Amino acid sequence: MSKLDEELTGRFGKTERPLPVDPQLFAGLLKRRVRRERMKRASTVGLVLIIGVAGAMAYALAERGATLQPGSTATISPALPSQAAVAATIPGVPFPACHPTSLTYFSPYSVAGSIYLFGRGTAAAPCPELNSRNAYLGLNVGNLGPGPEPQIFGPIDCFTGCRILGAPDIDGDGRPELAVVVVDGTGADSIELYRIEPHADQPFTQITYLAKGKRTPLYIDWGGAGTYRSGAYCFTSGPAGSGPRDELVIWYADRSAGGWHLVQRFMRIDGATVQLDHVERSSAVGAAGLLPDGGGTDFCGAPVTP
Amino acid sequence: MLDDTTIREFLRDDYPRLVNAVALLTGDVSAAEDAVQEALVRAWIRSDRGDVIESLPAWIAVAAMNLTRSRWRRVTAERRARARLASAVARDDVRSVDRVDVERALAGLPRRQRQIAVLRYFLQMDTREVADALGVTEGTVKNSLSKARAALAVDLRIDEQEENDVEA
Repeated sequence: MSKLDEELTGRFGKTERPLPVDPQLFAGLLKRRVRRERMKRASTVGLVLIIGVAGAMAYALAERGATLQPGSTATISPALPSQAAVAATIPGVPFPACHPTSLTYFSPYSVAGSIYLFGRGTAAAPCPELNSRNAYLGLNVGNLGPGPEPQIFGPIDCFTGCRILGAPDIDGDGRPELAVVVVDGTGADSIELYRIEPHADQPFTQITYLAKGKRTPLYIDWGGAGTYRSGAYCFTSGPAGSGPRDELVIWYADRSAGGWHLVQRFMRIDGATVQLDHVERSSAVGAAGLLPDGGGTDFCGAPVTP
Repeated sequence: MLDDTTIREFLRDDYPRLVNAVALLTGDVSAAEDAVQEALVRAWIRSDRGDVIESLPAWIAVAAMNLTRSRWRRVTAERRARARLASAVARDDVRSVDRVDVERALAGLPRRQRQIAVLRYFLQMDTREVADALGVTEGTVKNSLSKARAALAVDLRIDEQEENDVEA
């Protein structure tokens, strides 16, 4: 390097200004921004592909005499991702399953089964982390005996990690929806919801948000950190003289100017679509008594593992 | 594929340096931060799609510099830069005086020379790396760099005679 180059390098080096960056916080913000970008793309090009086949479920189940339960429900198995570095085997799944989580499910015909979330692994190779290219959902109804192969759906939006959160009944129709939590790592993860349709060709349908004629996957912020809290709850209400109406309330609150400020978005649910009904805002000095339930251990009546 | 660890390492090790590099081009730290973040988002999405980015810092540097070329960013950056330059020297420390001098000198160069000078002297990439990052030949880089360094030497009052003596 010549002396002029050395001098220029030195002069340029002196221009550097300190830029303190918190990689943990910044990575979280960045992930959210990436997710927003990906959501935009998903709304136009379609994020979810379907692979696998849908079996003749009703026929098979009738042959099998599955356990009867009152109504369609789901209970949660330990929902934390497996730390196993090696893929597991899920009967009927044609590839090694990584980091599987599952829950027990009872179909509308009260047939027991399972819902799985797992990553697509490779034989004899370490499991990759879950992401939006390798994460799949599986639905197997009537799997308590030698049952049909699970219907596989995906890959789903898993960003840099996801797991089954629970199966709340968000629209009050007596049938659970599947809640998948997408791990953000900043303390405020987000939830995506799927309708479970065991007798359809497509066993899961991601619930979408419809606004101004534009449909995007619904994401619900979940959790919080520092001066931010978020969550969701379900309730049934309706104007006087009309029947009950089920709504999903998505809320967030932040602390600023000496108090907590809560914003609640009341969403109307219609099948796999939610639309904004109205927004309510309120403030209080303390969070106690102001912030709704949800975002912690309860989500539309379903106990979850945050 | 970019993962969480890679991103955190990038943010810790490379992000401040790259923001400073882009700020030298635009004269505006906020615009530089915006551009680097945008470039990082694009890199992440590309990686998510399966594209391979061999050198993330180099890719981000060039992508962010290109992003600053869009008109609104440039206009905004220049307006802020002019306002700041007017008062910066008087109130800032010696380090900032150096910065303002270099920014002024760079501002007098054509954009391509400016970009190459920042990649070469601030990010300390060699001519091959600069050529790869910009997608041009090494000869183009050397040619532009030669003109840039001559102009910078004058503007920054670096004694070229001494340089010539040394090279002789």
